Amino acid sequence: MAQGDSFATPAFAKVFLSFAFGLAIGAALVLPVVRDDLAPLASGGSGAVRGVLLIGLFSIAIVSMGLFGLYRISR
Amino acid sequence: MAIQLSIAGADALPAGALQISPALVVLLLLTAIVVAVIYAYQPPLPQTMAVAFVPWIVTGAILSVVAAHGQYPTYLEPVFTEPGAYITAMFVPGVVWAAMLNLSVSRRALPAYHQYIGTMGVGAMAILWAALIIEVGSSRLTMMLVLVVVPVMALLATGLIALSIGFWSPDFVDYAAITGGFAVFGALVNGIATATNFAVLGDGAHTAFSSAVRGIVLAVAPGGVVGVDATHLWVWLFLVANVAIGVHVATRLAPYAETSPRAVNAMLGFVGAVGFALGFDRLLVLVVG
Repeated sequence: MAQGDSFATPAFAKVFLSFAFGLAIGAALVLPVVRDDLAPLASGGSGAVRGVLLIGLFSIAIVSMGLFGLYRISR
Repeated sequence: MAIQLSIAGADALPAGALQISPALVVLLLLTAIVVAVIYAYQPPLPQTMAVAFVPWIVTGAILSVVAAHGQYPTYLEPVFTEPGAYITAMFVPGVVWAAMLNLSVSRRALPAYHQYIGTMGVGAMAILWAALIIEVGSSRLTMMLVLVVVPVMALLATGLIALSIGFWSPDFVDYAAITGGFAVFGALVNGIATATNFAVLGDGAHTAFSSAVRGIVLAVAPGGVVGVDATHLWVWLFLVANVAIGVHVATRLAPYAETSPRAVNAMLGFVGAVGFALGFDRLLVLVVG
């Protein structure tokens, strides 16, 4: 490749978009399997299932915040 | 060994024939095309490229477990179970990488594709973790902490090991600190996972290498040494041997990184990725089943 090894500084919007794209890819990969399990969640579900869902959402939120923090630190 | 497609079903195959599903063949062909496209661009390989693939390796490992617990359409199952899950998990970032290379041909500076691929992998991995929790249930959440604790501990240990390597191998620090460290990290995770496996599952979980280390220790010091029994001794020696292999490979290849950084980064990244993938997969199967 002619350009050499210089990389453009990634824009935050593109990094965030990559993360969102990753979430979409992950969802597309597992949706056929977890679709049936998500139905009870949509209709309220039991306490344990709601807890599991909350943990999942929290983990995504924590990863998102951590990613944002790392990005801010590195700039 | 005969290789035949299993279109007609397993009953039609002769004994000893290896079954390869059409979906897996298509996936392999597409992956080969993507690899060829990336190779044709001869892109620079920064040291962090290997790290960018870590979340994709985790994604592949979790995908195989989720697929084993869930119900994919039969014809697609080989793509989502081992080893197809790992190929799928590598195919997706490969396509993204190839697309970015193609779109950036005329630009002066390349997009930081390793950062985009890594970030995308983190997103996919987050969803896969959530799916794993939903699929397996909340009963094994505590045990699943092992999957986080072991890589984090291995990462800390790798940092210390990498620092100590710097005392006697300046090339390692100058040219291959991240990829070399990644190779050591992969060897360490693999060693811990193997040791954990045979601690929990017994002799059946031994690999050829762990059996060899145990055999040597039991032959040399069957009663242990200075208060340390033979079992502890060979488990620790096994871990040290794993790390030693990683360190040896990293320090031997590091000097060549000055003149051939792409080749060295690719090799060390591959060594680290294989070690990490094997280790994480063993841990995941042990914890989740």
